[in-house]
Amino acid sequence: MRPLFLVLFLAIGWSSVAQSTALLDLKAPEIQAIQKRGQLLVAMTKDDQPPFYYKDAQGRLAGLDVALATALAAKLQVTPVFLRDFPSFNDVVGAVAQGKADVAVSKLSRTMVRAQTVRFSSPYITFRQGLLINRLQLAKLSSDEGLKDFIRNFKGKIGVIRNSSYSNYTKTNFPGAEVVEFPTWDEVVGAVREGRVLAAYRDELECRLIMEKDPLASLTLKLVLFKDLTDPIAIATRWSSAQLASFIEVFLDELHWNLTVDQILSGTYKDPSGA
Amino acid sequence: MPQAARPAPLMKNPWIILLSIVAGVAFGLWAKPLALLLAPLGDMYLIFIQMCIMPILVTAVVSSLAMIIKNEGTQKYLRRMLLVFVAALVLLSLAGALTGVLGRPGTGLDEGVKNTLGRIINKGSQEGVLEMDLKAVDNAVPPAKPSVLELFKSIIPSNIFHALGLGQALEVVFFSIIFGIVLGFINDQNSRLIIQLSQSLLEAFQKLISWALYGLPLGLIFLVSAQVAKVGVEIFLAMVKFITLFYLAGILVFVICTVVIWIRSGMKNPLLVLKALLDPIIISFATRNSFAALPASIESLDKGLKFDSTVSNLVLSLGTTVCRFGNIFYFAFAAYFVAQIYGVPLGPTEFLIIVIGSVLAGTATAGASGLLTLPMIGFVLSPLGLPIEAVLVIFFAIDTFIDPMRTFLIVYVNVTTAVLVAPKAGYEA
Repeated sequence: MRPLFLVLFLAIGWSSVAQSTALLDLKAPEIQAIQKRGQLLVAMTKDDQPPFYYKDAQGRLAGLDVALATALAAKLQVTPVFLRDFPSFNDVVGAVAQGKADVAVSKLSRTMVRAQTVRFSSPYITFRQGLLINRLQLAKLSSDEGLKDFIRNFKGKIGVIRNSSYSNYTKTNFPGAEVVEFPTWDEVVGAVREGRVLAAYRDELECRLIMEKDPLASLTLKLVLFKDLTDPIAIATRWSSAQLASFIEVFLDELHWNLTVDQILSGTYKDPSGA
Repeated sequence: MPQAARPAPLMKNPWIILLSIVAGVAFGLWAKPLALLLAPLGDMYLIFIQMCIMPILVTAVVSSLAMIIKNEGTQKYLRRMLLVFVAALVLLSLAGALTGVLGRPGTGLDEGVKNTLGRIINKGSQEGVLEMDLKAVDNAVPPAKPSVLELFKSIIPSNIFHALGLGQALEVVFFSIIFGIVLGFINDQNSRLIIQLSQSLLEAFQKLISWALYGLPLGLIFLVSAQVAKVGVEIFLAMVKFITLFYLAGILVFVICTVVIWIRSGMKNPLLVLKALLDPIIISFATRNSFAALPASIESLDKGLKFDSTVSNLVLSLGTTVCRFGNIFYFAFAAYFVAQIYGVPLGPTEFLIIVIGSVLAGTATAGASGLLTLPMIGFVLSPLGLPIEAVLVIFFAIDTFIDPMRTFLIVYVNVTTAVLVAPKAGYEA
């Protein structure tokens, strides 16, 4: 009798294990890996990028990208882990490409160069590109009437964040300009306000944030926004993680987020967790 | 003159006029919505006065010029007028620049003040953000930059009736000068009729204005209250140094001018001089329209201070149109504010540029008034390499405070120049 029970027990046990293994086996390997780990590894730059990700008053990580990544992790039934030791945006791309992180949700600009390395989701927000120009220097170089022509044939120093997408954009869009790279956006803004560079180049949101944070900036800086130069912000995954990328695409589609720059500026965007 | 001996009627009593201003201020402060609602009543009064401006301008210039040219003894007044005009223009510009140098309106502003200014620029320049296509070339022709040469060109009206219809003061005055000179060279027999016609038209319109001034106390209540109700406290506090300096300097100019007028008038009591000039003073402050004060200035110099009306009519009409003393003074002062706020040091060369530039820019505002005159400060700032756009937002925002004093200076300095040029009535040179 005993061996019989044992066989029966083993048979029942085996069948249940086999069944669950079969379901697990059907999932794509990168999804399996994430769920086995129980964690979604999210890459972000070392420096805060408010309002996308930053330490709040209590020292907790907060912001739009944090909420988005948390909601994504929740859909995968895992917890998000934020990896923050990447000095530049290109380093974030590198981390995803090398598999050190599952995704990059890091206010990451989709660019042609980066798209050769990682997979991009469709953008969850598309910024226009903006220039903050030092008014005092501009007045010496161009009249208000000739401003558009002056910008189209931009000559002078343009400040950007080192190893950011705007470093490449400058070479493409303003071939006559001299690129000056700074470690942080604050230093770029400081340089343009003191007139060490003629203009600072970044997305609409960051440019407008400068004007809102410090009203006095509007006295020294002129904001120019380009309708035909966009900066799509998207989630990046490793090139081989086709299923994860597809999952993210479905996730974004279901979210119906319709995010706008004004919503981000005023902090009135819809919570992606659906709460 | 039996008319002058009669005591001033109640509605022209200086105390009633001052009282109506106080009432207007109180009304504007405590019944803001009602004051704004009733603002059209004040506008109606102003428009009624403006209705008479163009005819007065034309007839005063034409008849005065023709008569001065015909009378060889009075021709010297034309030379004297030009001299006094040029001297006064440069003096006012110098005074404005010196106020900027000594008063330093754009320095020592604390962080709170600067932040308020920044917020105002942000709020006012939403359109100031340039949105453009980098790649596409837009076909829209950029608006032509106002140049001094273009301005001279625009003075000549292609059709005088068109210019009259549109109320283009500068063009109308240009035509009137030419026409008056031509009349002066036609023999008396043939020109007498037109000169007399001009004179009687002028007299009729002056009479109309004189009657309209009975309504001044009432008009003032609505004009003043609407202005007071529109005033923003925040911007006033942020720019209090700038505004105070401008007013202090303006008052200094007022005192100097009053002394000059007093001496020239030969009156014993300076207060009587001020009483005679009360109407143009009050109208310039309350309407912020230098042309609206022209009929009252003509009346005051003629009836009140008893200057030769032929000469003073001409000087006042030309001066109000061309010699924008208040604007010149303001531009020179404001240019220093801009340079100081941007921390750009200005030397003697820049001082000269500002003085000359302000005369040109101020003169370029001829025929315009109010906010429309402000962008002309670009004439002064551009050669100095100073940015205009952002500060212009500030200037627009504070103009409710600045405009009355600016208009007053145009009117009062013009009265002073007229007094310096014209002889006393009855004096035959």
